[in-house]
Amino acid sequence: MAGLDEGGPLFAQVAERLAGEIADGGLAEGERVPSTNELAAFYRINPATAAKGINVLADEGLLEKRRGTGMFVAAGARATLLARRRAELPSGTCSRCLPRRPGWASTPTS
Amino acid sequence: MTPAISVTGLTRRYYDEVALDDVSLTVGAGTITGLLGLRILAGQEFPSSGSVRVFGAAPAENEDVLRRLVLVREDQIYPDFKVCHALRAASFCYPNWDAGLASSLLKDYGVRAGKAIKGLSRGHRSALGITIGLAARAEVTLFDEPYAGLDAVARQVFYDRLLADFGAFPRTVLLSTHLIDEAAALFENVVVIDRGRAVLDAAADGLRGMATTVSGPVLAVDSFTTGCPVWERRGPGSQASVVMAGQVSGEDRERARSLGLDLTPLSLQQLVVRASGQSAGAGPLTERTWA
Repeated sequence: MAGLDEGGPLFAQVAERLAGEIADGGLAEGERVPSTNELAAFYRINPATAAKGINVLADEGLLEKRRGTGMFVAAGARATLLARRRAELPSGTCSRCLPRRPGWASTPTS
Repeated sequence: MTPAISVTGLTRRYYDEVALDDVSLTVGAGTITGLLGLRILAGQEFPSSGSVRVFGAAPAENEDVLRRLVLVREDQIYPDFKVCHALRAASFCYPNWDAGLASSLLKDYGVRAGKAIKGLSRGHRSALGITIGLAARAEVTLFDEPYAGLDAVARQVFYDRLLADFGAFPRTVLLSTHLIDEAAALFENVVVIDRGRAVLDAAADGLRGMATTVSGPVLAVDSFTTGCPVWERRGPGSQASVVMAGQVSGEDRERARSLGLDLTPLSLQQLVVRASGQSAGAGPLTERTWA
C-alpha cells in the first residue's frame, strides 16, 4: 500500500483520492480515469479494492463507463463535487480532505 | 460460481500434533487471499480427515488438478539442476508458462540462468521460486512464505510483479505470510488459522479501520470513548490507551485533535493477533464474516 493513509477502508480512500482529483481539476471531465489495474499498481493494493473504489464514484454518476475503453469523468462531475464540498465542509477543515459521503465512508460498526 | 478451492472439515495431525482442526473455508476464483497452512491444498500431503476440493476435485495425486496449480514453498527443494533447467521443466508442466515473464523476473532479481541452483544464495533460490510461481500462470497459485532471504526491496518487487501479472491474468492466489502488514493491501480476503482452527475469515479491506487505538490524557480518552465498544484499556496514571471498535468519522478526528488525542487504526497484524488470542471464544473477531 503506497500513498494511502491507514484510516478507513482502502476502497473508500481510493474513491476519495479520485474525487479529490476531479474536484481540483486534475482529472478533467471527459478524461479517462486510471484503470483498476493501474490504480492497483500505483497504490500497491488488490485490484478488487481499486475496482470497488472506482465503482463508488460510478454509482454516484461521477464516472461513466464507455464500453471497451474504460471509465471516464462524467459531465458535471466537478460541479457536483465542488457543490458538495461547499455544502459539507465545515470551516477550518483541511481543504484537501473531502467530507464523508453517506453509504461508503460511514461503514456500520459491528 | 464454484469456488476455486473448498475445504470441508479438514483435520491434519502430525503424530499427536493437530495442525488443522476441523477447518472449513472456500476461496473464490480470481481472488488474492492470505492464509496459513497451504501444503494439503497442493496435494502434497493428505488430510487426516475432511476434504479438500480444487475446482471441485481432490488434488492429491490428481494430474488434471495439479497441472492447473503451482505451489511455491519456503524450503523448496530442487534437483541438481541449473536455473535454466528448472525453468525448462516448469515450461513443460504448466500450459500457460510465460518464458518472457520468467526471464524478466530473473533479471530483476539478478539471477543468472546458467548458474547451478545449489550454488544460489537463499534469496536467489527464493527468487527462482517466485519466478516459477508467477510465470506458471497457474489457475491456482500458492505461495507459502516464498521469500526467505529476500530483503524488503526484493519483497516489494515480488508484490509489484504479483499485482501486475494478476491484473493482466487474473487467477486464484493464496499467499501465506508472517509479514502481515507488509502484504495486507494485496489481499482481497484474509483467513487466519490459529492452533489449527480458522479464527478469522473476512474481506481484508473491511477489516481496515475496524478498531482504533485512542491515546492521550486519561480524562480526554474517557470522554472520547464514552458509549463506544472498547476492546482493551491500558495505562495507569494520567495517560490512557484504549482500543475502540468501529469506524472513526471525520468529525471524530476533529474532536480527537481538539482534545489532544492520538488516533491510530489497528493494523491487520494487530487484528490477527487479537483474533488468535481469542481462539474459539466469543468476540467480534470470531464471526465468520464481517460486513
